[in-house]
Amino acid sequence: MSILPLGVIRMDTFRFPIAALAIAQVSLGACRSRETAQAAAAPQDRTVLATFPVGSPAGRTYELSVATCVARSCPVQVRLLDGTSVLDTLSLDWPLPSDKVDETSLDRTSGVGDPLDVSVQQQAWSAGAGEGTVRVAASTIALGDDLNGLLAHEVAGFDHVKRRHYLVVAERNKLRRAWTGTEGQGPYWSAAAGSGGGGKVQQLIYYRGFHNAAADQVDDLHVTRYTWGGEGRGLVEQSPPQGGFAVLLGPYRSVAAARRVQAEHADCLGDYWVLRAELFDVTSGPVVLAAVTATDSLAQAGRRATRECWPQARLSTGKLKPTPTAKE
Amino acid sequence: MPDITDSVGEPGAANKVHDVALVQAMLRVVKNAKSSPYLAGEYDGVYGGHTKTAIVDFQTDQKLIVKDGTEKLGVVSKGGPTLAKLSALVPAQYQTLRIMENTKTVYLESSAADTATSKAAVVTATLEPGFQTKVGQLVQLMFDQHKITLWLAKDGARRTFAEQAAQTKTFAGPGESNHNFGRAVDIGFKNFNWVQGNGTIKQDADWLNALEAVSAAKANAFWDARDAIALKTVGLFRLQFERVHLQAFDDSTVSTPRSLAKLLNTVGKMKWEPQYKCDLGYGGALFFVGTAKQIWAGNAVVTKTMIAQAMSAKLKKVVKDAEIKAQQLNDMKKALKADFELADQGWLKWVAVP
Repeated sequence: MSILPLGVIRMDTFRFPIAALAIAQVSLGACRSRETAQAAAAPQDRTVLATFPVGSPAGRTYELSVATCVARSCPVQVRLLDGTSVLDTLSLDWPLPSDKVDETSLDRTSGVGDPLDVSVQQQAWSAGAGEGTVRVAASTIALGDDLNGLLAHEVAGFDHVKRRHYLVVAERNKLRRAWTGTEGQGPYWSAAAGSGGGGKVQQLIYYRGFHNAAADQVDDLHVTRYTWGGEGRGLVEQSPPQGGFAVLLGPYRSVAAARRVQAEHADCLGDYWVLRAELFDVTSGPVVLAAVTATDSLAQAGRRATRECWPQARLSTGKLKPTPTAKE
Repeated sequence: MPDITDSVGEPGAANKVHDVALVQAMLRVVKNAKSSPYLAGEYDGVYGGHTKTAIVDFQTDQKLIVKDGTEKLGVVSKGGPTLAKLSALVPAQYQTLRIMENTKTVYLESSAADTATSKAAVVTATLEPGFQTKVGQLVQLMFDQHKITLWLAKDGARRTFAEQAAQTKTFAGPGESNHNFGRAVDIGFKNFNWVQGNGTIKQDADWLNALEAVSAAKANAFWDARDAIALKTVGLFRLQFERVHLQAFDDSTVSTPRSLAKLLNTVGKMKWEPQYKCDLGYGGALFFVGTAKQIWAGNAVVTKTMIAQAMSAKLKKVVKDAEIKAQQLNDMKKALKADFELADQGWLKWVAVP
């Protein structure tokens, strides 16, 4: 992957397989080699990475950009634009550590998109090296008939990876951070994805997991489905709460037994968690290996993928029961 | 025995936040004649009316105020009778209550025996010897200064390339983690006992997850205390985003790809350049042969064309793709992995390359 200075964005290496990602569009006006008319319109205080439609009123967009660096800190910002006029600006938590920005992509293993949706290859930008690397990606999520939110992700680190997810929403002429998903210290993992799509209003599904270090303790995993609404016009947990779907292996007699199977087939079971069987509707034993997802169809696809990798695996699919919302 | 650095109460007390928190925590777990704690609310390090009342009630019940002026009503002085009595009445499990300066979280002292066990684990862990010594020093100094035992987390020392390959949810493949070369540890607060606002003891995990759930700032105070020793005294380095991790070098000044390439060139049989460019053992042009994960899995990106080109240059005659047999492709993938295996075995020879 080449390293490009800010302001020089190359688009030829990207794929856009997901309709829900909408119109991720790099501002060519930020490229110095473009025609004078376009360059004149380019903002001087930032490099535009992509723009996304707000919905209504037409002509309003979310702009994802990187502001001028100060002391090796380059703020990642979302702007609300009306045409070319900036109505409001909001910064994400983690600035990029350098003005040398790589084009890259993020997939489900990075916490972008559904955990079992292998089609996700989301356009992203990356700066820094090693554990100081920060990557940013964004896509729209349909919150209402005429309202898109911007679901942004920052993924930091290299071996030790930390993720932060943001839902930014336009309200009149202002931007509001309507929701943030954060990870604590330690082997946490999280993912945020829009689900539904196809022109319909989407849910925001938030997955939070913790890989337990103790050999005799199960992992933690929570799936929360949010919808847009309520009197405060914000994200509200779906009522009644609904869990997720899962590909299941097991049951196993003990956590250690499940972890042993996972280790023996690590190449095939990277998406799986060691969880209590009672979290699911179809298993009886104390412990299962489970890979979770938002829909039954993705669970079925995940089952097929695991079977391709490990033909002897005795797999089933089931439903993950809703769990109480964990404290943020 | 719990101790304070300065006076708490009024009038005229210093009321430093850590002293207030410690006295509050003691008043939260010492009970009066009605079996109620003297301080009913949560301890928070902020001196106020509830704390004043609790101190006065305790002093009155215990008849601690005498007319010779050795202790003022409403004041807990350092080394004074009120503190001595409070300490004496603290339940046995709280006898080692302690707090760090300018923090608000009271905790229980660890033991010298635990610290010795932890240091022994560091000694037996697979680590580069110089780094290993520093980690041992950190464990001892943390106990000496704060009576806290740090522990290596599970999989927190050197990871083999195979162990790295089994890691999910990471961008780092075999040979791409600082843990693969024995110069990094994950070292945290396993079994750390801290006192919750209501006075109950909470045993935490390596990453202080329970305390962080209450307050990230409170958890960070302990990471900062660890790092004050690790970075300034011992000479280790931390990461920006994951605090449990410490390492032997400044990550921002070292190129992981260049360092791995240097190691491969030192111990391997082929010529390597960063980002997995390799001469396939023919000494000529370099070819991109895949990712670390692909190479380690035996699935290096090698084609007959690549091998033919490399052989043509070496033999100074044209070798056609069709002349390359499937077995040669497989052998090349094994040879590439073999260099990685040599790097895994020769991890001690890794050097940091800017």
